[in-house]
Amino acid sequence: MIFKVAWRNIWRSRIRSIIVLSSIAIGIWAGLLIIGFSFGMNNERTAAAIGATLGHSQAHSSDFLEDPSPSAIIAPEFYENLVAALEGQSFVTGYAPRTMLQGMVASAKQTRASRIIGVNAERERANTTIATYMQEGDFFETRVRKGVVISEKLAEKMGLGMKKKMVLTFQDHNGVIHKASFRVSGIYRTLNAAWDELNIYVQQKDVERIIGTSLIHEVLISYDKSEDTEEKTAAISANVALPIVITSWKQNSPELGFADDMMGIMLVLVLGIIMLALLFGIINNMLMAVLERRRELGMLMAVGMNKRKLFFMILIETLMLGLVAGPIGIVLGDLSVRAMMEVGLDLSTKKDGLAELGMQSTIYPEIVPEYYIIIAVMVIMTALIAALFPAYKALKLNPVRAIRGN
Amino acid sequence: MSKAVIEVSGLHKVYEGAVPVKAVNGIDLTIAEGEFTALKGPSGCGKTTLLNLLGGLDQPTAGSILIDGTDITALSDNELIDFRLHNIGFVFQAYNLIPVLSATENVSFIMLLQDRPKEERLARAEQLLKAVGLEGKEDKRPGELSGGQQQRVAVARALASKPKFVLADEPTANLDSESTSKLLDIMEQLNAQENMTFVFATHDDRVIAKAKRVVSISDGKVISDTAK
Repeated sequence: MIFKVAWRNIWRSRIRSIIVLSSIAIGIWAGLLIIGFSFGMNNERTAAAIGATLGHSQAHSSDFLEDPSPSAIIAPEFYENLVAALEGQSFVTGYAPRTMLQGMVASAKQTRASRIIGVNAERERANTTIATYMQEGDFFETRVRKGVVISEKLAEKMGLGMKKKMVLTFQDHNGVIHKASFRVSGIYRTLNAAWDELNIYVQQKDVERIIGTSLIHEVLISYDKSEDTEEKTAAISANVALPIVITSWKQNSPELGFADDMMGIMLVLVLGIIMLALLFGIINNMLMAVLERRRELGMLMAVGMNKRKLFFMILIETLMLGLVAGPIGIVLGDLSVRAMMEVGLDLSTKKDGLAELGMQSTIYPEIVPEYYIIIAVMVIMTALIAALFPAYKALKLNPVRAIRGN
Repeated sequence: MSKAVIEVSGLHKVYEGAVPVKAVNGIDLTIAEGEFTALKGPSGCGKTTLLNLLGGLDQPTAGSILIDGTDITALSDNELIDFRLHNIGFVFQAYNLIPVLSATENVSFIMLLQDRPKEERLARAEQLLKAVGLEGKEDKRPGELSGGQQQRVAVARALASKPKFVLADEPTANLDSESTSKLLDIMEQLNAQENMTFVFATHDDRVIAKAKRVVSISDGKVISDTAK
C-alpha cells in the first residue's frame, strides 16, 4: 500500500508533478540527443580520418618516429618481414607503402612548405578512401607521368588548377636535393582541412625515377573492423622486430585519440550537469510536497509510522518520479535520435569551421545503447539523492506541531 | 474494579521561554479500562498538553506516565513510536485522514504499519466502518465524505490497531450538532460493546454530557474529578 500511497501522492498536485516529470523527461531526451550527436560527430570524424589518411595502424622505422627525416626508411629486408607479418594476420585487409618527404612546392603564384606523399596508387586506392574525395581529376587512375594530386585548398592558395605545373623540391635519404616539375592531375578535399593544406600526393614510381631508388617510410595498414585496433596493433607488433614499430591510429593522431578517449568522460560530465539541474527541481518538488503534507505526516508519526517507513515512503515517491519520467525521456530520446539518423543535422552554415575540425557539415547521430543504462542509473541515483533532504525535513517534524499545521 | 490503563503521577510540563509556562502543573490521574472520560476546561488550561503527554507525543518535564504498566517517559523515540502504534488510538480535531486513500484504505493503513496480513486488514476495516455507520462508503475518499463521516472514519482508524485506549482531542469541534450526536453515540456504543477506553479533551458540552467521568482542568491542575 506504501507504493499505492506514493503513486497517488504524486498526482495530488497534478500540474506540479507534470512539470517535474516533463523536466526530467526533457533532460533525459536532451542528454540522449547530445550523446547521439557527440558520438556521431566523433565517430564520423575518426572514421573519415582513418579511412582517408591514417589507416587503422601504420608501420615505420623507429628512427622515423623520432625524426621523420628522409633517411628514416624501412629497409627492404625489414619491409619484406613486415609484409609477411601482415599477410599472416587474418584481420589485416590490406596495406599501402608510402614515401614521406618534406619539401617545397612552388607555383607561379607562391612557394609553400609541404609534405609530399609518394604512394603506390593502386594500394592507396584499395586501402584508403582518398579517391572518393576527388573534386576534379582522379587519384592516379588516368595514366599521367609525374602527376600530382593536391587539395582544393592548396590549389586555391597557390593559384593552381587541373593540368597546371608545379615544382616540387625535396631532399632524398642521402641529403641530396632534387627538384622536379609535376602536373596537377587531381584535386581532392577531405573532411580535414588541416591535412588538406599540408599534404600532396605523387606516385612512388615518379619519386623513384627522380632519386634513383625506392624509399618506404611508412606503411598504412587496414583492418577488417575498427574495433579492437589496439589489440590488433599489438598482435602485429608481436610478429615484427625492431626497427619496425607498429602504431595505432590513436598514436598516429593523438588529437583524435584524445577526443575518442575523452568522449565518454565528457558525456558523463554533461549528463551529470543535466542531472544536477534535475536534482534541484526534484528536491524543490518533494520539499513542497512534504511541507504541504505536514499535517498528514505529523498524523502518521503520531499514530506510529516509524522513521524508517516514513523515509521509505518519501523515497518511493521520489523514485516514482524518476521511474515514470525516465522511460518517457529515454523513449523520446531514442525516437528523436532514430529520426535524426535519417535526416541528419544540417550545419552547413558552419561548414568551414567544421572542416577545420575534420567534420562534415551534416551530422548524423548514433545510438549508443550503453548510455541508456548509464542514464537510467543516473536518474535513479538523482532521485535517491533528491529524496534525502525532503525526507530529512519530514523526519525532523514534530508530530504535535505538525498536526496543528505549524 | 477494572484495572488501570493510564496511571499518571506528579506530572509537570513546563514550556521554557522568556516567561516559562506551566502547561501541566502536578497532575495525578488514573484511568481504568473501559472508562469514557472527558478532560474539560477552557482553552489554554492544559488539557491538550495532558492528552499529548498521555499519548507519548510530548515528553513531560517531571512525573511518570504508566500505560498498562509501562512507563512511557522512559522509552526512546523509536520505542515510543512503536508503543503508540500498538497501544494508543488517536482521533484528531481536523480528522487528519490521508486524502488519497479511500475510507477502507485509511482504516487499514495503520494495520499495514503493524505488518498485519492483507485479509485481516480488509476484514477489520470493513467491520469497523460498519460499526461507525459507514457501510457503503468504504470506497469513498475523504474529500467525498462529510466532516462527520470523516471523523467516523478517523474513529474507525483509531480502533483499527486494537489499542488499549483512544485519545480524542476536540473530536467534535468541527462538526455540526447532528454529526456530533451521531459520533458520540457510536463512540458510546463502542465503549459499551467493546469495553474500549476513551479519553477526550473537550470543551463541548455535548461531549461532557455523554462522558461517564469528567475531569476538570484549570491552569494545568485537576480541579475536579466527577464520575457519573
